[in-house]
Amino acid sequence: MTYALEYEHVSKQYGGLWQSKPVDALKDFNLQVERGEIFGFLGPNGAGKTTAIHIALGFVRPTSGAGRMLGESFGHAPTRRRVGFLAENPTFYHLSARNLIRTYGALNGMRDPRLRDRVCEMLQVFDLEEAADRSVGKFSRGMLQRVGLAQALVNDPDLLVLDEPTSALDPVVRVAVRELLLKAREKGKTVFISSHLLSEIEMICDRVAILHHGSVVRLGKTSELLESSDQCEVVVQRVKNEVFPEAVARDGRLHLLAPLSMQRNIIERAWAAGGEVVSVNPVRKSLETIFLELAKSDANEKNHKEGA
Amino acid sequence: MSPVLLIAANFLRQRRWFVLIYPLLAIAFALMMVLPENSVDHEVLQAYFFQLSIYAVTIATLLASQADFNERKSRRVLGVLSKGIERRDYLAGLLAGVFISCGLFLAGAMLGTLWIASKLSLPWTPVFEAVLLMWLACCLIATITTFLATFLHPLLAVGGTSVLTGVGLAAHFMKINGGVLFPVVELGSAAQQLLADKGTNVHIIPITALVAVVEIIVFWLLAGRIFARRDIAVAIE
Repeated sequence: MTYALEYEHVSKQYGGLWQSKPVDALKDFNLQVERGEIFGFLGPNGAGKTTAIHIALGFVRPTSGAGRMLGESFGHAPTRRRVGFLAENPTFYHLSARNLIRTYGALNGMRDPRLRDRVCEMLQVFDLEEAADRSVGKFSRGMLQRVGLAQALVNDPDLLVLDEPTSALDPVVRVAVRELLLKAREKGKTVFISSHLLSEIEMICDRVAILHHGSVVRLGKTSELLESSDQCEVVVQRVKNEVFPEAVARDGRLHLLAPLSMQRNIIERAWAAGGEVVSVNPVRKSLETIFLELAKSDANEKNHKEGA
Repeated sequence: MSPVLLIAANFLRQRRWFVLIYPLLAIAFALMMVLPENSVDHEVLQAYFFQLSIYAVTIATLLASQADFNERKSRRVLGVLSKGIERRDYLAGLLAGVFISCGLFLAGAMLGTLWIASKLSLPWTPVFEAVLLMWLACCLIATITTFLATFLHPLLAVGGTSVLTGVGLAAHFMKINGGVLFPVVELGSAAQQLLADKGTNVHIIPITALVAVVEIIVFWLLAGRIFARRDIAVAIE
């Protein structure tokens, strides 16, 4: 089976001859993105997300390792005709929105009448019809991002690579983009999104990889990652507060957050106190929690090193 | 439109004011040189063409040195090269933009030269030939600068091109035949001689022009190979 994107032991070190300390942006990075999935790519700033994307598109050459995009080696120009890409903070030629989308479509080898039809469709989808003949040089960041998405999608790509695609969009367009990506998946397209908007990723991604210091530290189905918490929430009633001082009282009930290993103990204590157990639920971790845990462990590691 | 022409068109669009002003400047120079004098002679014609030839070569060098650098600095290059375009085609687009810019400037210079030539009742054919040779010289110098700019800072690329031009100039004055290996000066000199009407050895020009065309292709291919190995997404200053 060929993957939409495949990285094999890719490393990238930045730093030239004159820079004393080279920086490892990616270290033995391995990842496979299957065809037809929406894949979320997360990580704190400087984790190496953008470098990984730039390597796939051939903007940057890996120091070691290799990879394939849609079955061809990274940097293979004809393959990029089947790829749509939106860079973080995109900058474009100062053309009108219509001409810009048209230019980028033509750069991908598209010709009229298909190109003309797709340009009109993109202007409509991204609500740019009214601003179609204005120069993008005068656009706000959100509008520029919409134009960026339109130029990325104009060639109806098999693989869509988006680096922070919705960060500057208003909620209405954000929903439209989400629907568009879900529709693309239905048509068998692959979407690879790097984003800080964890709620967006949670909502649409089939799988997620979390990158930290240039390596993948978590990888899996979004649903599995979110349920990987080792905590549960126990709700009890008719129990005095003193029995569970750590509990939060709400609507006459006590809500307790505890490790799974303590679940039985809590239930027995509630019964022993003459109370009732209303519910016991595993706590779903949000991606935000996972992300923050990583950042915290990073800070601890740093402090530990400084202390040593 | 092909991707190369699209890139060239956008290169010109971004510099549209300069591109429009260049030919007007060339014509303005002709007016400045001719109007104060009641009578013009061959020397005025040669001085005018020599001066504009220097400007043309300078414009070619400066535009070529900045072309790729500006695109990378502004990160516009990412949007373009994320499409199915080879790096050498991207450079070809930028070079085509520089060639057209120089062509427009030289078109202005040609109009000025033709005007002066008509005052001297000279035939127009040598003017066309001289302008064509100068344009070829500009194309060659732009390609060499672009080649150097793929791995050097633009200022160093300009410096490198100046050194190479200096070598060609030295070879020309020392009457070393090797001057044809870097034919910018040879082409410029041939263009001047065409206008001076001193009986230029017309057999030399086709060879020099052929060497220039071959060098343009070779330096473009070399630039493409080097540029294909460059990391274009890293911050540059």
